[in-house]
Parts: sequence; structure tokens; C-alpha cells
Amino acid sequence: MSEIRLNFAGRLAQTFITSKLTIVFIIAVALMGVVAVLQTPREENPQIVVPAATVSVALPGASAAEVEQLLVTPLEGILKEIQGIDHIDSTAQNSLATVQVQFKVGEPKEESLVKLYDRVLASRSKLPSDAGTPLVQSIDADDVPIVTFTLASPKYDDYALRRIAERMAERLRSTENVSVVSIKGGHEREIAVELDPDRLQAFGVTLTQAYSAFTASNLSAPLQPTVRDGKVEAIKLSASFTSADDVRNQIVAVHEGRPVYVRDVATVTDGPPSEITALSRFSFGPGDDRGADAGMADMPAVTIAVAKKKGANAVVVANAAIDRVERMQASFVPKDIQVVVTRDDGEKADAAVNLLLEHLLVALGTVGLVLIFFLGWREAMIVMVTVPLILSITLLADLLGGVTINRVTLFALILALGLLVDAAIVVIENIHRHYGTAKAGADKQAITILATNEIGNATNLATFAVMLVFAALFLVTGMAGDYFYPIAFNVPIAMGASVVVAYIVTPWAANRWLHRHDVQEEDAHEQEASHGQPGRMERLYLRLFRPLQQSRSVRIGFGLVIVAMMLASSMQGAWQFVRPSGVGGASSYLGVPIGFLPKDNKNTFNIVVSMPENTPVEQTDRFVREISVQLSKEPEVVNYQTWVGQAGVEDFNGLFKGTAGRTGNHVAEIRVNLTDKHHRSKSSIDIVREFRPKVEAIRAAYPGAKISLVEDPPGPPLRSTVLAELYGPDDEGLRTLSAQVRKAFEETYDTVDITDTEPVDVLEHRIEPDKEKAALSRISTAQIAEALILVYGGNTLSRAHLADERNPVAVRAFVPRRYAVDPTRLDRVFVNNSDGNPVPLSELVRIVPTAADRPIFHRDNEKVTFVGAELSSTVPFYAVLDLQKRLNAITAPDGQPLRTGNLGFKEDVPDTIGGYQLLWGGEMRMTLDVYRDMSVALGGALLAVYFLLVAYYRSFLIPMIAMSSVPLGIIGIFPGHWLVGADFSATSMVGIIALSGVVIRNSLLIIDFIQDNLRQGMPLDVATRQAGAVRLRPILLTTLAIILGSAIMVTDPVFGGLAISLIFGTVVSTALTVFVVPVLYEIDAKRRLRRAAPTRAETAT
Amino acid sequence: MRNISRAFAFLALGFLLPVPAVSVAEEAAANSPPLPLVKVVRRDIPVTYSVPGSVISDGRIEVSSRVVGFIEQLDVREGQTVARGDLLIRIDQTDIDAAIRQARSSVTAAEEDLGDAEQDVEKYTSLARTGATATETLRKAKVRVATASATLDKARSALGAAEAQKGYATITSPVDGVIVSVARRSGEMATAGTTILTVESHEVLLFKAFISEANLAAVNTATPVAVRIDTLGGATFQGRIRGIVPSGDDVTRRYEINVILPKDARLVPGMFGRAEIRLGEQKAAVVPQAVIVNRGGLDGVFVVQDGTARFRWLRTGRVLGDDIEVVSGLSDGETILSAVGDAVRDGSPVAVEGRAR
Repeated sequence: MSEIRLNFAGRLAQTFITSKLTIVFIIAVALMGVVAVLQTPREENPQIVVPAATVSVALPGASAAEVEQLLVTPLEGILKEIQGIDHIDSTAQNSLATVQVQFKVGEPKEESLVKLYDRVLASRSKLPSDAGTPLVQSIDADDVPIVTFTLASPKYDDYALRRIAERMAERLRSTENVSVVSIKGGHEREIAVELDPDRLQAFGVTLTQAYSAFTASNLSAPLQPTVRDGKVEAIKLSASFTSADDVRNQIVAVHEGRPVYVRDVATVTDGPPSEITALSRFSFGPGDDRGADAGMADMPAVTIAVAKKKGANAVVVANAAIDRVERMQASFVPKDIQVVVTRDDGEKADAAVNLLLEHLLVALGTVGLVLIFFLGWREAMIVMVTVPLILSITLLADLLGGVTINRVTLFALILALGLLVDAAIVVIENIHRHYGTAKAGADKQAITILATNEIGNATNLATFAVMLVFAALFLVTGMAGDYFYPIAFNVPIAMGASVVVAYIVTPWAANRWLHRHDVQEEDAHEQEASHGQPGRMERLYLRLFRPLQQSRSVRIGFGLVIVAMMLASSMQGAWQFVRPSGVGGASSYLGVPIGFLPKDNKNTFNIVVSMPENTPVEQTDRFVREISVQLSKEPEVVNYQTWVGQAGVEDFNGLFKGTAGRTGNHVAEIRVNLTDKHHRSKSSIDIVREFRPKVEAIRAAYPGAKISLVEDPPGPPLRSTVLAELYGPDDEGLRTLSAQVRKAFEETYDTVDITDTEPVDVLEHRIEPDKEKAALSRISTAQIAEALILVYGGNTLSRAHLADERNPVAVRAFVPRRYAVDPTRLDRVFVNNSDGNPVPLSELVRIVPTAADRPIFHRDNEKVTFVGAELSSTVPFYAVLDLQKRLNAITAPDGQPLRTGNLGFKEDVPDTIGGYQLLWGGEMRMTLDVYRDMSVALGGALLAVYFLLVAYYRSFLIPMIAMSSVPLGIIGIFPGHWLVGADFSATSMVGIIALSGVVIRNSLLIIDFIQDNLRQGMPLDVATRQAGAVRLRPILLTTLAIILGSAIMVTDPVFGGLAISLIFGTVVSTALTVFVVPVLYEIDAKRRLRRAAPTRAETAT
Repeated sequence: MRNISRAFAFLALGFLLPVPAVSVAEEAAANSPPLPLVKVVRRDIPVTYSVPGSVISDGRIEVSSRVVGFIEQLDVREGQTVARGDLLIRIDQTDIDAAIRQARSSVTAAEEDLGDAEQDVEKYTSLARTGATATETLRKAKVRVATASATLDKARSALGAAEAQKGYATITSPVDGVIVSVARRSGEMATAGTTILTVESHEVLLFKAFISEANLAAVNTATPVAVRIDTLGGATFQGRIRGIVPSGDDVTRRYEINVILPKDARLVPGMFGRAEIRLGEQKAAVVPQAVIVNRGGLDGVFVVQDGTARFRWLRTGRVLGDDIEVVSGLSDGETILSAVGDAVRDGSPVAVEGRAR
């Protein structure tokens, strides 16, 4: 303990030990922490920035194949030139090309879109001249509504509800930081002109005339002002429709000198549309008090969706919107309208964050208890004071670095908690020890500085190693990279802050408040060294350690046991891949499935229905109603909203899955809200799993119906869990192959919700005008088109400006269903020729029954079709490998074997030169990418740590000994997962990375002490033994801190894996490290000594 | 394994909870009166070709005067029903009477002249026998008799003609029918050949429509045709095709057909209607229009499933009298509530006739 040059730790301690600055530092940091907690935006999950946009181009009348050739292929070529594009998905359908561009994760959003716009518009000339202007629409996660309010009432219809919703939406738009307020559901007012083809014919009025009568007579135009009497006076032509009566009294034609009015040939109604194609209903479930009221089921519903601006705090925006709605409810919303908050991401984020903050406090408390138990309450208090300071610094870094407070951030903090108390513990423990051993006359302040200085280098090194290991997570790419970013960002910062705070605050506090234990000095009957008195634990350790040190056979036996255990543990993970019964099927009893990210316990799930394309909306509704009957029996269901004919309010997951924004007769969705997860004992995963067979039973009666029960994924959203991307040269071949693959999916264990992108053939009546006949009858194709548009679907001919209406009301003319015209018999539809003679359409056209044009899909410039499935309880690895085994090299439609791929660590790109190809996508790809990146990160981190240690120890072997503790962790990891009943997941992988940092640190401290002991002249065997014994307490202490700190995470479905890996790995690794590392060090040292100086080799026993 | 067994325990609890609710529902079902039911059946509904047209009269008489003269009397008005022989118009007869008188005097003069000539012949015959006069004189007297006789004939026929004119001055209705238009008023001049009024016979009414060329082959005189008249609340009249005018329009590709309508007092020429020509049959689900209810803006029916009424949204199609075609939403053999009060909601328990406790 001679006067030595102070290191970084010592110098910091010296500067701050009595300084007033320390107090200033503490107060300043604490204040910044408060600001950071209040100011940093909160989210549930980290935002994953994936710039994406849709480019759509219309080419009226072109078939899907033409659109593919003329639009999609050139567009893909144009877009392919842009840097940073990940995937291009295109759809060629009749008259319309849609190309969805997905940039790589992390590409800047604005820049990417500008590049896209620029490229698309510059290449306009490559598209056919009659194609429409390309429309670029960005798909933005910020536009996903964060709050939705559903208005439902047993008394009002959705038309009335919509009108109220419109008024409410107007009042919501002015809320701070609200971006888009949209209304979904309900029907807009329209003036419906229900044309009767027979009456039209009887009055000699044709559809063409009716068409032009509306378009030509609803005009208003401002004219140039005139000057009279020295004043400017305005002039305006005003001939707009101002009421339904105006429309009724509109003259369509003059027949034999008498005007024919609209009312003569049509029924004019003003109000909601009579023929509904989409609707929404809302019901309370048994989980709500109102659920028992039969009147509160299946109410018409309208939803107001509120999105926030980018960077705004979801919690604040959501609360502001809810507050406004509540006030509106009090003022003008009728009392018998139920206004229910059906989505509240703000509250979700707040609840998640608050829960985790609570968990953080619990973790802090448990760590505190451990510290009090081990160190005494004064020391414990000092350590506990440092924790909030470190967290404050970390959160401030989050605020400055643009990281939001989300689940992952907080898990990073909880994870860091176990690690960051370490620095302070080590410092205080050493000060404590020095106070106990130092001579009575020594200066307290100097002892404190020296004690800090003593452990400085080792702590710095260990901390730096941990920082390096966690920073390696920056190497994870893709969506998972964004997802785990807060861990990679927060843990190193927290660790860095922890050492600084430990060197500044701890010595200062110790100097002020810690007493010197003079008592201990009295019975300083040290056995072998000057390192304090061995307690019971140390004695036990020494008793166990001696045999290892003394007997070679014990050492070998110990080594063999360790290796056997490592193998056995690894087999738990690997067994299913190699077992004789094949990779498919249920997990083996002792096996641990290897997955990506487990599902989370949520308060909501979505049922996505897609019927065969030829299903009328009423049939879709029937199916949905049957499912809702089942839902109304589920006790956990609070409420559910069904959407028929349209998708519900989009969510982030739906945007990625491509289920958001769908419309059509065959589309439906049910959003189910469950009771809060804290008040229910069943997790949403189990609820969905149990509900699925009930839905499946209903589905059996509707052949061709596809249904998915979608739970919001905890991490990045994916198209499907198991996804086969089938590429091939020919549409028909792909269709055959798709059916084949789908069948294989159905035969696979545990697959549910199987979907494919091959639509059912829809019968199409193709109306082909007979050009000669039409010409002879003096009728143009355009006239035929006008007439047909009115007969099939109708058309908005004009807009009426009604006095009591804020928006112009559409005047829509159509032929109602009761006069429906059979498309095979157009003899009732007449068109006037140029002489004014009506000609029946049946005489001018040929009707050819055919199949409707099928959309053609492209992905990354190749024709593609998808088959996807979800897994109810297992992980995609096994299902995919099982499928791969069955599908690889089956005969593809071209007679050649099917090539499968994308199961390597590098992503394969489609290639159809050799025929058909199957690439595995979805969660499988993500899993492979994440495991690849994490392995690379772990490998890189370990290598960096190794180099660091080589530099520090100036030895190649000692770092290896230090790092031997890492593989020891494996022994604990898989059995740990098995015991808890969790899957090995990506977070488990993060746990391994964290574990590596922790255990390397332990062994470093041991080695550092051995070397210290050696320097103090102890014999090797005593030095190793003593180092182990002396470090045992702090090591156990930090291990306990880590275990108890992260224990609260174990129950979390997502981050449980991390905690399991960390806890079980650390426990096993630590327990073995304290034996293995000293033993290895001794063996190595002896070997070195033997080699260096054979004469001195006999000092040890 | 551990999780699953726990999950089963919760599932079991979940199933136990709603049990009391179910029994309450059953009691309610037992108490409520049975509701009448209808079974959905798919049946043949006619495939018809509906073509609009108008009722026309087969007899439409335009009445005009033969004689020229001022109209003395014209009492009938448009819309008035007249029987055969009823007086319609009387033309001023003064001119005719004068002409008759003139003709009559001509006849008298001719008769006198003929009598005188005959006496001459008598006188000259005896004289000529005695040779007291020349044969030449007798011959001339005979010629004068023949001439006088011809003149008399002429005068008589002129009288007949003049008297005949008198008949034309009063015009009576030629048919049982209705006056549909009156073109002249009393006091106006009736010129020969101009229409004074129009009478329509209601003895035979036709329905005139144009069918498209495509349907020509499907139609013949044996085809039954139902004519629905909109203004008579959609009343249907069974008619038969009297004939298809075999010459079509080469521009509009349409052929005229005439359907004989049954005698009915409500039918009036000019009424708009649709001729529904039956082309064949088609199977479709049909329900009475009365069972359709509107709930939350949707048209549908209540289907009885396991003792509960379940609302089913329907797509309705053509109206077939009191029934309506259901295009989508109902399956064959399903039972629906035929009389639904406002109290019935989705999920209401239903006591089924015969099945109620």
C-alpha cells in the first residue's frame, strides 16, 4: 500500500471526495433525470422506421397481363435503381398497377420518399402515354391512429352516428399534436336517384340522357363583376341543386312536347344509401357491465380515429383527445350514444411504461435488500443513492439521443440495474474492507481514495468489456436491430455512467457516512493473508476448492462433468433438429424450442376474415355474425367491433401484413378488446389459442373462407409466421404450385390460419360491343359504357349544395336491386342513338362468360404467390424445416424439381431461371437474420473483449481463461428455459450477450486479485485460493443483484428469455467460474513457471 | 405442459360462468308466446322478359261529317261514354231542306210534263190511225214521253239524294265507347272529312309493346303474357299475343307485338304497363315480403337457430307479387320468423311452435 500513481478512478475520487461540487453534481443529475422522465416521449414499443410507399398507376381497360407488361415491369425497373430499397412488391390487376416499395430499415424517411418521387416522375416517359399519372403514397407508421373512439347506439343508425362523429372530429382536429382525424364506418348522406329502366324506356328516356341531364344542369359559376353607379357589383350564375326536390324536378327529356321529370322515371331519396356494401357493428362483451343488456349488442357503429404527429408523446396526445371527447359527450353528444375508447396506444404505452417503472423500483428494492443484508444498511444506502443518478444520466442520454421511453428501453434499464450497482458495490466493498483492515491511525480520506484506486483498473476494464459486449447489439440489422436499439444504446451508457458515479459519489459518501470498523481489527487473526477474515461462505468455498487444487483426477473429473453438462444443455436446444422422429411434430419433453420472439400478453386481438372473392357481403356478414355469437360468450371479452366489407382502423401490424385498407364484399375484420391483462388470469395467447377451434368449427361450414386470429406481435410485424414465397415463370403454374404447397402446410403439425394469395375465380360476364351492329344502329361504345355504368353500380353524377350540409352531397344515380338487370340479358337497357331512337343493349353486345382477371403479384421483379400460416404453439424453425424436407425437390409444374432456399444466413434473392423456386420468408427469415446478427455481435464482442484483455494482461492465454466463464453459462441457459417453460428466443440471445459481459467481469476480478496477491508475494496456490475466497462475496453479491434485479422480467412473455438466460446462465456460470478460473489460472501459471524457471517450480505443492 | 393444464383449468371456469345466463334465457323462451315461422324453400320462379308498353284500343273511330254545314248540336264531351246509336252531332239542315223542296218541285214539274206528253201520245195515236195526223207527229210525241219520264226519274233521284243528305246531318255513335277527343264546337263549320270527335271502342283493348330481336324467337302467339299495370297497383292481366308485326325496325332492332287484354273496366287505353313474357324457370330462395325487417339500416330476417333468433342480413332481388327473391344470405331449409315485433333482437330467445315446453 505504498503511495502509487492514481489511476482514473483514484483521481476522480480524490477530486470529488470532499468537494462541494459533488453535491452540485448529485442535484444537477437528479434534476436532469426528472426532466428526462417527463419530457421523453413514451411509446409501447420502439418505433421501427421502415420507409415505405405505394406507387399506383392506372391504365384504364388494360388486363392484368397488359398492366404487368406495360406498367409493373418498367416501374420495377425504375424503382430498382434507387439505393436503399429492400423489397419491391407489385400487384398487376385489371386497369391498375400498384407497386409497394419498402426501404431498408433505418433509411431516412423523408429522403427516401424524395428519392422515390424524383425517380418515378423522371421516368414518366417509360410508361405508356395513356397511363395515368403515377400516384405516390407514403405508408407511414405515424399515420396509424393511436386513439380510436367508437360511437355506437341501439337507437341511432350509423348515418346519424356518422353525422355526430363528423362534428366531434372537427373539434378534435385542433388538439395539439394531432395529425389526422378520420372517421371510419357509417354512411354519408346522398341523394339517391333510383332509376327504373322500364319507366325510362316507357318515357323514351335513355340512360345516356339521364346521365347528361344531371351533369349539364347543376352549375354555378362566378362571373366577371360589372360596374354600375360607380360601384362594382358581382354576378353569379346559380343553378346548383339545393335540395332533393330540385333533383326530383329536374327535367331529363322532353317527350312529345311534354317534359319528363326525374320523378317520373326514378325514385329520389335523400339520406343514407339504401344499398349498403360495408358496415360496422359494435358489441359489449361479457367483460363489460353493459354486455348483459341485449340492446347493447350489435349496435351500428362509427369510429373516430386520431393519429399523432411524429415525435409527439402518444400519452399526452391520447389523453388530450380523450379529455376533449369527454367534454363533448357532456355538451352535445346524445346520452344514448355510447362513446367507447376502443384503442388507446397512449394508455397502452403509459401502462407498459408505468408497469416497468414499477418493476424497476421493485428490482431496485430487492437489490437494496440484498445490499443491506450483505453490506450493512449504510453501505447499501450509498449504493442505492447512486442508482437513480445513473438512471437519470441514462434517461437524459435517451432524451438527447432521440430514444423514446418504451418497453425495451425500460427492460434495458432493468437489465442494467443488476449490472450498474456493481461498480458502486465493488468500490464500497473495497472501501469497507480497507476501513476494516487499515491501521487505526491512517487517514480516512486517503484510505478511501486508495481503496477506490485499487479496484479502479479492474473495474474499468470489466465495465468496458460489458459496454463493448452490449454495444455489439448495434450490429443487429433490420427491424430487430431497431427493436433492440434501446438496449444497445442504454446499457453501455448506464454502465459508463455507473463507473463515473461510483468513483465520484461513492467515495464522497463513504468518507462522510461510513464508520471505520475498529472492532474487526481486534480479531484480525488472519489465516493466510491480509485479506480480512473468511466467513462461513469462504470456508465452504475453500473446503470445496482444495480438492480441485490438490488432486489431478478430481480436476479431470470436474472438467468432464462440466463438458457433459454443457453438451446435455445444448442438446435440449438441438434435440428436435436431430431427433429420429423428425423435426416436425410436438416438442420433445425435455426439449427447448428455438423461436424468434414469443407472443405477448395483450389486451386486444384481431380476427381477419377473407372469404372467397365471389362471396356476397351478406354472406360475409353471416359468417362474421356467427363468430361474434361465439365472442359474446367469452368472459374475457370487453367489447368487439366488427367490420364487414372493409377492414377496420389500421394498425402498424396490419400495414405490414397488408390487411389494412382492404375493401370488398369478401373482407371482414373483428377487433376484440379483452379485459385488462392485470385483471385477468388468462393470457391473450391462451384466449386466442382456445378461441381458435371454435372459430374453426364455424369456418368448416364456409368452404374457402380464410380466417386469421392476429395478435399484435411484441416485436417487429411480419407478413406471416411461416411464409413460403413461390416464384415461377407462369401464373397458372404458380397457382398449381400454390395449391400443392398449401396442402403441405395443412399437413404440417400445429399450423393454423393458413392463407394464400391465390384468389378464387370469379365468374365474369364480359360485355363485348358488336362494333358493326352498334355502328349500324348509330351508337358509340362510349354511350354503351355510360348506360352500363348506371345499371351496374351507378355513378355520382353531380353534387348538391344543401343549405344545412357542410359538405356537398353526392347525387348518385343507379338502378336499384329490385329492378336488377341480369347481365346475360341486357334487353331492358336502352341507349338512344343519334336519331333519338332507343336501341336495346342486348342487340349491340355479345356477353361472354369468362373468369375475371386475376391479379398478378411480383416480388423483387419476379412473379410470386404466397402461402402463409401461423403456428398456434410451436416455433417456425421446426415447421419450416419439416416442410422444407417434404417440399424440397418435389416436381414443380414445369416438370423440374422445385428449388427451395432462403434458409441460409444470407438472404436469397428470387431467381426463376431454373424453374420454380420456393423461398422461405416471414418469421423464419427474421429469425435467421437475428440469430446471425446476434451471433456475429456476440462473436465480435468476445473477440474485442479478448483483444482488450490481451492488451491488458499482455498474455494470450489469460484472457482465454477469463473468458472460459462464458461457455459455462450455457449449462444454465437451456435447463433454465425448460424449467420456466419458455421458448429460447431472440431475447434469450440478448441474455447470452448480457451474460457474457457479466461473467467475464467476474473472472476478471478474480484474475486481477490473483495477480495482486502474487504481486504481494503470496505463493501461487494461496494466491489463487485467496483470490477466489476474497472475491466470492462481491461476486455473489453482484450475481445476486443481477438475479434479483432481472427476476421481475422472467414473467414477461417477451423479455422473459433475456432474464432466464441471464439469471440461470449467471448462476451456473458464477458458481463454476469461482472454481474453474482459479484452477485454470493455476494450471497455466504452473505451466509457465515450469517453462520459465524449472528450479522455482516446486514452490507450490 | 404445466401452462397448458393451467390453461384448461381457466377454460373450464370460463365455461362454467355463463351457465346461469343460459337458464334465464330458456325461461324467457318458455314464457314468450310462440311466434309463427316460415321455412325457406327454394322454388321455381319464372324467368320473365319484361317489356314496357301501353294499353291501346283496338277500335278508334274518328268521326267526321259528310255534309258541310254549321254544327247545330254537339253535346258530347271528352271522356263521355256513349252507346251505339247515341246521337253525337247534328248539322244545320236548312240547306238540305231547301234542296229537298227544290227537288220535290222538279219532280212535280216533271210529272206534269210526263202526264202532258202521255196525253199527247194517246191523242196522236187515234188520229194517226185515222190518218188525221202525220205518223211523224206521233213519233215525236212518243219521244217526248220518254224524255219526260227520264226527267222525272232524274228529279226523283235528285229528291232522294236531297233527302239522304238529311240523314247525314245527324251523326250517331257507331260503337260502344268513350269520346276521347272533341275537335269542333257547336256553331263551327263542319267541312266534309274533317274529324269532329274521336270515339274509342272499349270492346277490345290491346297492349302494344316492342320486343328486342334477341327475344323474338322466344315469343309466339301461344306464349302466355302477363301484363302488369303500374297505375292499378301492379294488377296483372293475363293476355295472349294476337300477333307480332313481322317487320322490325332495322335501326332499333325492335318488333311490335300486340297482346289482347281481357275485358276489365279498370283498363283504359294509354296506361303504362309491362308485359312479362315468361321465358323459362329458375330456382331461387323466396320469402314473403312481410318478413323482411330493417335493423340498424340493414334489411334482413330473423333466422331461428337453436332456439334463438339471429338476425341475418339479406340481399334481396326481384319482387314477385307478395314475395321477394333472396339473392344471398339464406340457405335452403332455414326457419325464419314470419312476424317480427320491435322487441325481437339478435339473440332473443324464441319459443318455437310445437317445440315450446
